[in-house]
Amino acid sequence: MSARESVGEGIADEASDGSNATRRARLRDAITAAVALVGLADALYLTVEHLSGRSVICIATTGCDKVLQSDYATLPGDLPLAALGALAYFTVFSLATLSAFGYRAARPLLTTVVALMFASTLWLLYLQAFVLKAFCSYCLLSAAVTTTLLALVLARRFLTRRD
Amino acid sequence: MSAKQSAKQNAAHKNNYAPLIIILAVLVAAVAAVWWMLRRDDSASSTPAARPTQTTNTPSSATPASGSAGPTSGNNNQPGGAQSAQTSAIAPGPPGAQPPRVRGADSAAVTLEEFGDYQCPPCGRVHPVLNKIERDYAGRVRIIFRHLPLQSIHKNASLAARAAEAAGIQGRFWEMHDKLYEHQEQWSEALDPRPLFAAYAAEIKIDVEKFKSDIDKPLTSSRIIADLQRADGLRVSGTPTIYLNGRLLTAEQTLEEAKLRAEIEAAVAAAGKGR
Repeated sequence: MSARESVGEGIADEASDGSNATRRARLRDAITAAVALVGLADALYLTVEHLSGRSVICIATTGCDKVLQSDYATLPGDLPLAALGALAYFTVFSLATLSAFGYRAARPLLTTVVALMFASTLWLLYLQAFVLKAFCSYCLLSAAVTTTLLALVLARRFLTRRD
Repeated sequence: MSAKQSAKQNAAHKNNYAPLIIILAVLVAAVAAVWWMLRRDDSASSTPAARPTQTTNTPSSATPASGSAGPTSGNNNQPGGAQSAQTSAIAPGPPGAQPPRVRGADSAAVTLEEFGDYQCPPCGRVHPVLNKIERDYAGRVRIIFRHLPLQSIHKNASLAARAAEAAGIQGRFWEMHDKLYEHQEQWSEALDPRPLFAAYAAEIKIDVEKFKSDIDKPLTSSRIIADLQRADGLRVSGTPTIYLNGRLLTAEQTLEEAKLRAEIEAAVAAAGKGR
């Protein structure tokens, strides 16, 4: 059996299920994908601003320069950390979209990626609060997005089982 | 397999492509957005994300004034050279503060017009480069400085700009300009940077009491407002932004010394004054 046939059958199975629980789970996946897009936009903006090397317009906080131009904002090879974030958000978007369309194999991977992102977020929040002693509004937005993603993924995992 | 089941299966297979198409569309949109944002930096038609914020950067105690409201002789530390500098080799748009703050020979073939914010770290890094360039190309390059304090992200930027202008009233604009950049880390996060600015004023040997008084004068703020209006007219959204003979330089050309020098060298050569 080809992978495509396998996936097709998975979709057919879920389609035939047609229960409210499945619909709610798919709705949560769609919301997860939409939230990931917000994170993707945020991370792409930060990546571009990092590459341009200029000061960015910071909203509500005043520590953007200090955070975004710190050593922690750059990965080895001069790669902006925000670019890695953009890649992670795109991955989450893709997996959530696949899950919403019934690709069951995407779900454990989605949970794992979001959990890793949340762990990274906690580390970055620690750096901002205790090492750099400055907060960047875009980084805080990203933290909020990742936390929301974790809540959605956990809801998908536990509420769907209960349903 | 019944006809109904077959139809369902076919529908499911057709749907297989939908998520891939969506993912591909988002990928293309993301790449296009990055390309557009990077290109935006490279062209004069940038779309500032927060220009309204910049207009609120203007000191509240001031009233908007025309560019000609600023001080005249002596304030740019280069009496007589300022007026011609602002009328040639700069990008067309609102005039900005008149006379502008100019450093370098009036007869220079190359004019660099910088929009800067004293609290912006990249501006602080570009500052010594521009000073070196001015020395290395003495007589061939002049530098105009325009204020673009991004108050929304740099709480002391507007006050620093006013400090520079207040020193300018006593003919020491560039000395204060240098002090502010050289000691950027010292005052940037200060709750009240005024005592530090007063200390710099004493170091550059100007009347400190007059400096303290001038810093809050509408005349001082009006020059900054005029520069902000020029930045707004040119759609300059970030700092530092540099125009070379009226042409907007890219972020790389602005921030990388080798590329900036290459641009200047080319402009000097084009003017027939290259070494």
